[in-house]
Amino acid sequence: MDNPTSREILLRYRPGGPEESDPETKSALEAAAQDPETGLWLKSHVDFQKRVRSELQKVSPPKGLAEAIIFAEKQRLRRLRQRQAFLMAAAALVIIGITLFSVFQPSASPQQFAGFQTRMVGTALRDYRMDLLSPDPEVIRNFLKDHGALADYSLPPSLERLSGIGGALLRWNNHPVSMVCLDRGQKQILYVFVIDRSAVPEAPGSEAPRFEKINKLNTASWTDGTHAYLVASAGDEQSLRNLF
Amino acid sequence: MSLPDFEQLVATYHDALYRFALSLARTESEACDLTQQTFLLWATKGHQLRDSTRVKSWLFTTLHREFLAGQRKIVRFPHHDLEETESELPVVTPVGGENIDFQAVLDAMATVDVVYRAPVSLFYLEDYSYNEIADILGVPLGTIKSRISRGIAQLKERLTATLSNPELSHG
Repeated sequence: MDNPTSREILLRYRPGGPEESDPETKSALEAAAQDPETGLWLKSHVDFQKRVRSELQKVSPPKGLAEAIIFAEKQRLRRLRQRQAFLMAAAALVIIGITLFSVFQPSASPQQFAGFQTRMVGTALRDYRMDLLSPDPEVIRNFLKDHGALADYSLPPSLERLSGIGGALLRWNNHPVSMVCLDRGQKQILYVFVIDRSAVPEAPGSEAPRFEKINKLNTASWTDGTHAYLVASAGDEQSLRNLF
Repeated sequence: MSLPDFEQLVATYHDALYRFALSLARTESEACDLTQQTFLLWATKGHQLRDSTRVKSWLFTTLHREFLAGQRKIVRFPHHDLEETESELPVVTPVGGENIDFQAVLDAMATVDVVYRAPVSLFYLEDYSYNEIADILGVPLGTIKSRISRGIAQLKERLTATLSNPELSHG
């Protein structure tokens, strides 16, 4: 190793430092040991290194720096906690607001009765399970009554004359729904759904039925004092209208 | 091993970090700001560090990055490996250590090219190996070695100039 190279390496040499075992440093030290001039240079340089290191170690931070850093962090944490508390209070207010709104406006959605219609028609179209099979409408009514379902419904005379098929207890939006299946003849079922009037405030406001086609079924819906009714059946609208 | 709490961390490392900051920056106030900013970053991001043995190097790395972020807009410096610039290396006159004081060292350090300042500071202030310095500063080992050598050469040259002409110091 030539002298300029060894000096470049030894510029970064710290006696007793981690590079002591570095092969490159070892070679440079060996080269310096063989050249008196480089040896003298190294001795002087090592003194320089020690002195610079020693002087730099004398530097100390101004008094109060650590305390200022800790104080600033405490301030930051305090602001953070205040912000979190504010956000939690705001979130709580929003939740309370939503809760109050839902309590005092439980059926404000104009789609609510439409939702009831869609859901009940969907039930009629899909596979469903009747809780009771009976051709006698009064047996069905008594069964519903015995099971806490709405049973004091009042159907138009033309529907009262139809024979029964069965009945089931359903629920919609946590309200009980009575389903009565009647036999229209020609293998057609007439589904009657009865729900408490207060559960569907947007239901038609009179006893005059309103006819609509929902999904594949024609429907008629009306209300009386305490109940809302939905009748659904396959077949054309006129044949449904003829029942009323 | 869990991460140290904030006050413990400040008590343990603020001296060393301040020294490093002062050797990079030119003023005491800038060094204080860098030190405080580094601890603030630890307070907000330090929990992401999984290896508690790397706390110290994380702090030095962060302080150096903050320093560079502040410098980036005003300083553009070339990066050359030692092999590329060997012929440009200054002739280093042997300087005795007897007349050096820490203010002279700091003044001279402040005139060393900014790219060499951090490796030279870590070299003197901490007992980090070349590999550890390379890791902290995020540069290759060969580059770190060349920067340390060149930085020390510059420091020696500037100190020699200062000692031979005291009017240059504290300026």
